[in-house]
Amino acid sequence: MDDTNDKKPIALAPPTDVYPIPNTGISEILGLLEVLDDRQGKEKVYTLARDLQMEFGQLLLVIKAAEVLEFVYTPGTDVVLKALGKKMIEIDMNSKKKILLQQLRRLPLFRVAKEKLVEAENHKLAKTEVLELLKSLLPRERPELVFETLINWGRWGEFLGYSQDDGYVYLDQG
Amino acid sequence: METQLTPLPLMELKDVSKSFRHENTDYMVLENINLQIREGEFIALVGPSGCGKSTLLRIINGLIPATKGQLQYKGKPQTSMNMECGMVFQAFALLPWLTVSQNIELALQARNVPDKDSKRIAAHYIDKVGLDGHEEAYPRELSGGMKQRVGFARALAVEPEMLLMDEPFSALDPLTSANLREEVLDIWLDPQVRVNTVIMITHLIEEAVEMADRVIVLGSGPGRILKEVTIDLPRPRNRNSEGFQNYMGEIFALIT
Repeated sequence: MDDTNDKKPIALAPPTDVYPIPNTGISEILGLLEVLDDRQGKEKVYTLARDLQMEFGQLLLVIKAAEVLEFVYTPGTDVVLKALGKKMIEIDMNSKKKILLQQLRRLPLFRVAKEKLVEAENHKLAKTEVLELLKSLLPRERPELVFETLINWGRWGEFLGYSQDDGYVYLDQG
Repeated sequence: METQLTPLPLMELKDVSKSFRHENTDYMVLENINLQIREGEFIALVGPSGCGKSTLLRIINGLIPATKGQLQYKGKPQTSMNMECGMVFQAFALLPWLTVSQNIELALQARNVPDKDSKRIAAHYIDKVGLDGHEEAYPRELSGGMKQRVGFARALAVEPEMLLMDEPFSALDPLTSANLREEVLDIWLDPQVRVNTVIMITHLIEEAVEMADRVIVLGSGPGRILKEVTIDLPRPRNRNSEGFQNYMGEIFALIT
């Protein structure tokens, strides 16, 4: 008998539409939107990397993150500010957070995290359990890095919270 | 943006000099600094590395005494720490064993604000700088940009009249810096936030011209004011405009 059948991932049937989120911060994404706005909403990616003196790979991560959140789009070699991205830099802090929360709710990774937290006892999961979930959802990604970004973005949008003291992830407004 | 300028300066430095003594030798770091800071201004201090900018900022808030000369705050001599100053540091200076909330509350507890009030005030400024959701995070969990937001919230929580910033964005990547620069300007312009006078040290001339009403250009050997350049451009400022580039050229020529 094959006893590996006894070990099952937490997600019984991992959704196939969950994709990774780039490991970058919200401040960097907001900074990208500011910089694009200074340039009439559009710039070539390599021009941005040159002018900002940023490592190209790091800039691409931020652009990808902004795209995932629907603040920019990337036709060809350009990065272009969308109306939602322009709005993000014009509104006050609490309004920014509301929009971020709205966008996080559209991301499959956050939707699955929310489902698991809602099902869980007291609507919270230990970090170890969340790491296992992330391993099963995104087997090619480093779960610690995905966790870091999930918590970073989740806190920003007040979607979810994490207490390092007791090691639990919980649902906030998500 | 129009600043409300009053006829009397908020702070005045008259013939301020600073020297440090080391092994029976006096080293003059700042010489004959004469400077007025008006309420409502955003001032940038620029100059070559080692010219005494950080020393000058610490003399302004009273952390370091001047060796010669006089400081006046609201027309009265300033002879000790100025409790109307909040300070933000390049390296954030957060206590790693305290959470975001606790780091900010500590600044209030140090001023004997009761716990109930310090929690409420800290929560207010956590909200102002976008740290809602991060209250229980420890500094090690935060990016540089988030750590500096804690630095801002901590400085603002004591509700100072002047915000002093020593290279606040230097340890941050270019995009996070672009984001926080705008947020600092928003906070400065926010009528709900008490602080309306800002003094910022920066080594980036572009940053100084983008943000400041007036740029104080310091030379070194020892540190002295070479020139004060008033930036007469409306906000938001366009870095590519002729006016912006002219100011940059003027300041760059003074420093090099």
